[in-house]
Amino acid sequence: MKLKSRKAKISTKHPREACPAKIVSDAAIATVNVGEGRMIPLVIIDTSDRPDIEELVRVQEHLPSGDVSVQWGSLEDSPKFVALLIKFIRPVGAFLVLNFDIVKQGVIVDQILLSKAIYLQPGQEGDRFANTMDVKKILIEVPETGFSNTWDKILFKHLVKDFREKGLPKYQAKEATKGVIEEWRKFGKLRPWENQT
Amino acid sequence: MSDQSNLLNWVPAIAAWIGAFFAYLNARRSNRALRLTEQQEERRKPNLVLYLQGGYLCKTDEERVYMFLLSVSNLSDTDNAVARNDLRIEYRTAFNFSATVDIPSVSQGIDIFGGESHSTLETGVKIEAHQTVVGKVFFRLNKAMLQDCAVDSYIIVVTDTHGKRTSVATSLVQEVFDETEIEKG
Repeated sequence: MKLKSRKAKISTKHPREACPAKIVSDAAIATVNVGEGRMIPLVIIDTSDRPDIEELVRVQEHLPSGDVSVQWGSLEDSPKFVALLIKFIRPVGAFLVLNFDIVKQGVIVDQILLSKAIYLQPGQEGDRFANTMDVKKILIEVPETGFSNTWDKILFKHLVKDFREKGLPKYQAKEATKGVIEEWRKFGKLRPWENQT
Repeated sequence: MSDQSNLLNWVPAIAAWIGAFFAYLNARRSNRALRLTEQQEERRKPNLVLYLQGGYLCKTDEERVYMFLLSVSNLSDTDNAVARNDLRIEYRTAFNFSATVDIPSVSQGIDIFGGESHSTLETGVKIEAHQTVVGKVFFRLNKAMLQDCAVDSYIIVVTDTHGKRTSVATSLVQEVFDETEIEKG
């Protein structure tokens, strides 16, 4: 079935929820016990103006897993980005928008779609995973919503365009894009713990 | 002769009026039937009403255990069931941020309160049409979760089998130190 994109207005409880969270850093985590050892991407977001997300992560530590619904989309006036809209239902209700630059952060989106999950860690400007490993984070399941096929086309189109802007001829830009995506996915499918499980 | 023709002229008019009168009666009867059907349909819609008979809190070294004595009445003509019980806690953090958290009910390890006067209101319990069930609902949470937080209110949210949520709020939860206090209640 071919999915069609449609325009929708999403109402939020607080104006701060409508602004995309600032991604300050990213990484990937592969552990034996989570997601069959898949490499799950992690994003550290600046929560200096999102106390609700900080509280959600803090509270979640003490409670059983909650419910969340996710939706891929694109925000108005940001054609070079794809957005992951996350609606936390329980234990704490909140809404979060992660806006990914297709060219610069496409690898994160690709890995989210591959691992079907994402770690979210509250933080502030300058935080890196290497020096904030002990900070609490939550794991969000991102099930297949039918976006993968659309994403493949979007990613290919934007990477080709980027390569062409950097001076590559059309054919070479396409070949380079194929190569980049192939490498990303080869790396993304690695399971460092495979031999130990 | 003219009198007779005049009378004959009136007959269709009278017949039309009689017809209109019967049409009016039928319309009224149909409206009443429609209203009754709509009322019946309304009565079939899920409609749970909660009544909170008491709320208790017991603190241990590691956790806070809440017990609420709750009655759930099914006012609808259709059987229903409790699919989920949550305790919604509205609180303020140490940074004065107003937050809300939903804690799911638990059914194990709740002997802390003792007493056998009411059974536990388990999730999945069936409530037949126009019946009421009464039971205890337990919630437990790690003490550290509300450390340095000020609780504003507690809301018990019952989700029925149709996904409809009904809630009852309380800000008065009695802290108990032994089970006899609950009986005195």
